[in-house]
Amino acid sequence: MTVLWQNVVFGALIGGLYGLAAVGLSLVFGVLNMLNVAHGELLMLGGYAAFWLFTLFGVDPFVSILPSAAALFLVGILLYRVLFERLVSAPGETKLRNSILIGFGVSLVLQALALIAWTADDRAVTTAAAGTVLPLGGAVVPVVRLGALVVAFLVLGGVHLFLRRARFGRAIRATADDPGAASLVGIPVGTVFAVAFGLGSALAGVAGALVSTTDAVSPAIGLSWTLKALIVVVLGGVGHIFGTFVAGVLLGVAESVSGFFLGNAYREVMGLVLFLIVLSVRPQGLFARE
Amino acid sequence: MPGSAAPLLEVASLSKAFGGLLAVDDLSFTIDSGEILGLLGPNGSGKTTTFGLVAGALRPDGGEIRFAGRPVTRWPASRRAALGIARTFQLVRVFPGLTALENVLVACLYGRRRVSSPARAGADAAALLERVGAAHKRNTPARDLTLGERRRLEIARALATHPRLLLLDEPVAGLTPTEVDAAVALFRGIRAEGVAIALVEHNVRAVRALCDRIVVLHAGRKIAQGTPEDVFAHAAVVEAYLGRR
Repeated sequence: MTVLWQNVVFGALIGGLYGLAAVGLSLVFGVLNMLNVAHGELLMLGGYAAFWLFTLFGVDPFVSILPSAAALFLVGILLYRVLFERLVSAPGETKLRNSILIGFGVSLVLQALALIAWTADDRAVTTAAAGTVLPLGGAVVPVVRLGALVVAFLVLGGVHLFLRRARFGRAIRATADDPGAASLVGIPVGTVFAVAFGLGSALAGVAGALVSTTDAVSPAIGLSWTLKALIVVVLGGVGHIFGTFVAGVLLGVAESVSGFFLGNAYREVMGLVLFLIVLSVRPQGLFARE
Repeated sequence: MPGSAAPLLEVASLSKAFGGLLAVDDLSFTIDSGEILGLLGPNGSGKTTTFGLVAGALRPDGGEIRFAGRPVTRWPASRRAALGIARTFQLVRVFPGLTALENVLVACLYGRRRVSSPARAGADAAALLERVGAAHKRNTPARDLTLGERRRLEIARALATHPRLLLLDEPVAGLTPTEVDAAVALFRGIRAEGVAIALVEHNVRAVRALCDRIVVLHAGRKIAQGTPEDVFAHAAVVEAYLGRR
């Protein structure tokens, strides 16, 4: 029983990061109708940023969140302007399909570059707090993982407030609803698209920095994070930040519990099974309204 | 004002074809500041296409459009909007995920004469909602509003950009008679502020009550123009070209 509970706790902790990774992907998809399948590679870059800042300068990854987010914001803007922007005026389905193709190309290039620059070794950040745990009803909660969950939640709260209350946040939501009408009321739609892409990438940067504190970072981790983020977006529904976060936690728990009952080999399978069930029963997502 | 030197909008020999179909064929008309011009004609006669050409959503195959003395024929829609051309759509296009107030607010914040102070913009947006009679729904997401409310919200959003010319595409279609009367009063008030209005509308009562002049289209060509009295006196026009709903 305790072991099961421990699995639930661990699943929830890792699931918060799934949620964070998914919100970045969902933001880009919701505003631009583009699926950036290189999202996981951007997260990988964020992880390396945190790893090197720690290794070279002793910066705690929780502090590296800021430079990592800023760097990935710029990377996102650059990727958008150079590669994705040309798709903006394409009709819906072509846009989606071509964005996936471009994203695959970007992910291959980023993986190869990371391999050349940093080798295929697993990298992890072990801070002084790494061994500290808190008791929780018989289970233990590693402080670092709890911190990552809390930070993920706070960052998403910040994004939510920005989109709801800020002038530019409202412009982003209006553009997501109807880019044509948005441009007619004077919203600089081109800038909104670029910033939304940058913001989604910055969220991958934050997630990567947090991942470096709890899991290994290597050039190959991207695809699995992209897949998890995709599953969570489908579970939560596009455009629902907290729904997406909760869906991330659910996926984490489901993976962890099925790993416990069925063996670790079935962890990933569970996620995909959930994905299929939700797609067939509630294709709009668990928390979407329509 | 009517009668002053140059008209606000000048459309000359405008043409637009879709495939082999001439949707707009050698069309010319003008609109003065503070004037309400009705565009009438049966469905498919080129009214909405004309709006698309004037607003910049469509590129003409031939002809010229001048607005406020500038040749805007090749300008994108956003740039024409910035110069003062605003439009509403036959199928309403509000931002469904934004509240009624936010719909107007983004236009106040980003439109022509943009307001940089958030408090000012909020007050302006609230006043516009009040004016179109949607103040009580300010915090309701636009997707949950009735058709009439969404139409009025779209007009409030257009007004928030301080247009000099407002293109209204069937603004009273689907409204109750009471709502039509309220809309007519609203459009008169807008015109009284010097804003010109081009109106595509099948509702004869609204057209008679509002329009200073009417241009009648058929198969993309202008077949009649004049005051409402003149145009409606043409029995043929009434019979053939005022496609009723």
